Amino acid sequence: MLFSSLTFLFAFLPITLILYFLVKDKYKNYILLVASLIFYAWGEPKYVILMILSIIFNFFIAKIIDKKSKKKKLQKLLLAFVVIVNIGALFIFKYLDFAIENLNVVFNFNIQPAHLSLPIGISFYTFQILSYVIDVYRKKVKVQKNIFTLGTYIALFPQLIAGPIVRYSDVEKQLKSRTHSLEKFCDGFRRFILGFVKKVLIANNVAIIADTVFSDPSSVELGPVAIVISLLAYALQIYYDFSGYSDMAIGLGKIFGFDFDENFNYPYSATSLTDFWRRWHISLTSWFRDYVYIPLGGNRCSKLKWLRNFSIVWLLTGFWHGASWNFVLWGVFNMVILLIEKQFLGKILANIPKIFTWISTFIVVNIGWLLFRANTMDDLGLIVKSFFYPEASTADFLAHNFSIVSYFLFMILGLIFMFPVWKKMTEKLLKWKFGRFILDIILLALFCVAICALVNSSYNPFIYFRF
Amino acid sequence: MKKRLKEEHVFLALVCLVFILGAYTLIKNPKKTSTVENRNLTQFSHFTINAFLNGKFQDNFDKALADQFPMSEKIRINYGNVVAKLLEIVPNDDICKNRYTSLANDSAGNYRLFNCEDYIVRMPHLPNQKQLEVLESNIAKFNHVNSLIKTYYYIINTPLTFDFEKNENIFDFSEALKEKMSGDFDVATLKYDNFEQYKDYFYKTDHHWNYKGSYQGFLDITNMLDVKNPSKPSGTFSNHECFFGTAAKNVRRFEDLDEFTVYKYDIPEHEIFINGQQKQQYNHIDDFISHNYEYSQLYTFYQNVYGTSYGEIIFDFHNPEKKNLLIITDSFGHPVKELVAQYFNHTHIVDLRHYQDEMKKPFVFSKYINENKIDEVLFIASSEFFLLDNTTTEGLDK
Repeated sequence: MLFSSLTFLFAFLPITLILYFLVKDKYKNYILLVASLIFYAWGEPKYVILMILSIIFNFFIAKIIDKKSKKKKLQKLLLAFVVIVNIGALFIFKYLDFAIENLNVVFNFNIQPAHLSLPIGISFYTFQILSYVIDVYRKKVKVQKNIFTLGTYIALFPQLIAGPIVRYSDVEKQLKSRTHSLEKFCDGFRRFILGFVKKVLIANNVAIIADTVFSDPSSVELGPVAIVISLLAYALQIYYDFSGYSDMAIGLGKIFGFDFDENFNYPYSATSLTDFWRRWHISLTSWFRDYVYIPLGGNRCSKLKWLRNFSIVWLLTGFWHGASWNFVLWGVFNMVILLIEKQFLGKILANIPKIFTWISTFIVVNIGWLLFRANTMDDLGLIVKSFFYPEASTADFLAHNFSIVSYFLFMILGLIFMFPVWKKMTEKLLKWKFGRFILDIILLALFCVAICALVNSSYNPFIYFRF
Repeated sequence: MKKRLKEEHVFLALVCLVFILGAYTLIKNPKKTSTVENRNLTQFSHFTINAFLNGKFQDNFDKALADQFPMSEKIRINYGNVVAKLLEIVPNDDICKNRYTSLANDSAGNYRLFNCEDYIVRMPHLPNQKQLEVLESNIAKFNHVNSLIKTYYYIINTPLTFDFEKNENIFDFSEALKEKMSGDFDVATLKYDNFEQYKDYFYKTDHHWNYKGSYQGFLDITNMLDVKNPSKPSGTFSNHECFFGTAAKNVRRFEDLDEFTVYKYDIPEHEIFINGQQKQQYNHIDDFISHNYEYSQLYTFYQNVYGTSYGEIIFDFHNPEKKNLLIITDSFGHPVKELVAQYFNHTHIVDLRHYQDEMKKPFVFSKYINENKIDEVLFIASSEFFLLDNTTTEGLDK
């Protein structure tokens, strides 16, 4: 189930809220667990079994790891085992076909791909599970003795399918007891609405511009302006989609009494790539830092080892996003630019006016998105070729894809609000007597418009058009 | 503190109001039809484990919630109006010139729809590289067909390749086919030289040909097949302004209805088999003439009156002295296939978009013509059938 669906808004959420606030505090986690499993099963009825098995497996292994604290070797073996099983499951569902495809090419094998569908959110909940088991091993958190509480943490629907990656250590206490207040509830709802509007009104609409080029580049005649427009649209789409989802997750967390860390901090206002990665998908970068980079030795080692650690983290970051070479290429691209920044460019950038460093960073990030979004390496090649050797003029492109013009409005809004405009506007409004009321009316009006857009999106006669 | 609490209560009350509206959707009596959109609305279905496991229950629930949402029709109409307004940003001088007025794009990105003197038409453009590649691959398949059997091609040019501004065909399919095809074949097209002629042959709100267009098609086809004295209609029956075509649905012109008229023909008695099952009738022309159809308001006239698409239809006229024909067609074939079939012994009509699904086996051309003793093959299709898609021609090269 998606947050940006009418089913979630008008059936799942109200029923869950009513049940959650009707029961006593000690039963709230059970309501959340059952609701989360239904939420997951709605989209993945069969894979919910996989999740339940994962909860059971990790619960018992973590308990054994905790019990064997005096037998360090056994503990280490168990940790290795649990990491292999969890990463193995992720590998089978996400990377197996990719591996088979490449083995077939390199060694001329003829292995049939498994064609397993990817369980939604597996990359996110696998990392959450690992953070729990590793932290139990490190004695950073106490082992959870109640399987339902651990289940609530792993399956917690607000952050289940698209993050942020919430670490067990961050919510350990909240799982046991958390405060609920009208103020927190309303703030959570405001945040949820903001994310909902970002996703439905901006991300979904700019996606139409981006898809004009990226969904099948060989079917459109391209030129540099068309590519730049579509790439910019994609940069906005991925930001508003992902940060919108994080806003909804954080907001829902608040409604149910949790406090999740921020996942985005206006990444497109970054003035270097290093700065960008401090602001983009913060929960993932910090996860890799704490569970991969630092355990490997971080930067407190020889330069060669540091380079190895750094490369491993960025290759894994690329791979985490998807089983395709373009994601690996995107990871390598980020790694190279970051290395250059760390070695000498950073010092130069520090002495240049911010506007220039912002522009250059934005361009670099967008080049990265080009690698990220291209469906195949062939598509990527075609787009790059068309950028330098245009197939059509801008006028021709617009003439053949004229309806995208109507979505430019959303692109302009996206470009404005990628900076902290809304935040500053809110701060100013709240200083007025009726500021909060006005802000709430604006939010609710946008919420209603976004609901209308969802209702409208179900009207789709086009599939019958050719018959 | 008190002020903040008051503000939160107001906010909560407003949020609840929005949610009550949604909850109302679940408890109110479901609406069956949308008179404005002219379609059946999705209903909430009963929960079954099987439907849940295969995701059908969830899909249906999502659709029903959207369809049954309070004021959903008004929301869609107004949304359509807003989109139309936003499209007016497009500089009409360059793109729409005088005759065309922009309307909307279809979401699949295949066509741009324009209002051309109240007719909803696709904006003409030359095939791009990818479409030309598809055309090439289809021609290779047609050449395989031509090498095995005498084949006739009847192509209905759509506005996709006809520029009404200049009154010229910007891409001539028949010429492209004639130039690149080999073997034993004939090609004819439904020709129109200007917009006035187009208006005579096609609907205002739909991409199909009307009764005059399809009759002209029938005459052209029989001429190509060398049929002497083809049938003449015995009467014209019209039900004024009752047809709501897919082009109008696409651009949400809910208020536009088209005139729907049929010719009545006297066709000899014959047997009808649809996907292997014997049936009493294929089309509902007689029902239309006698006003004896079930859903007058939601009737999709073109496909319901003329007969719809099936994997395989066989018309057996029991004329053993005559040849057997295979017609491969898309929806443009509906009004003419039974008319053409009367000049043959048995006529097989295959729609490659549905054949494999409905007949539970892949279509293999050479096997099909041998097994059914086919003497000649006739293609009836819109130019887009030949141009845009090569998945629907699968099996022709085997």
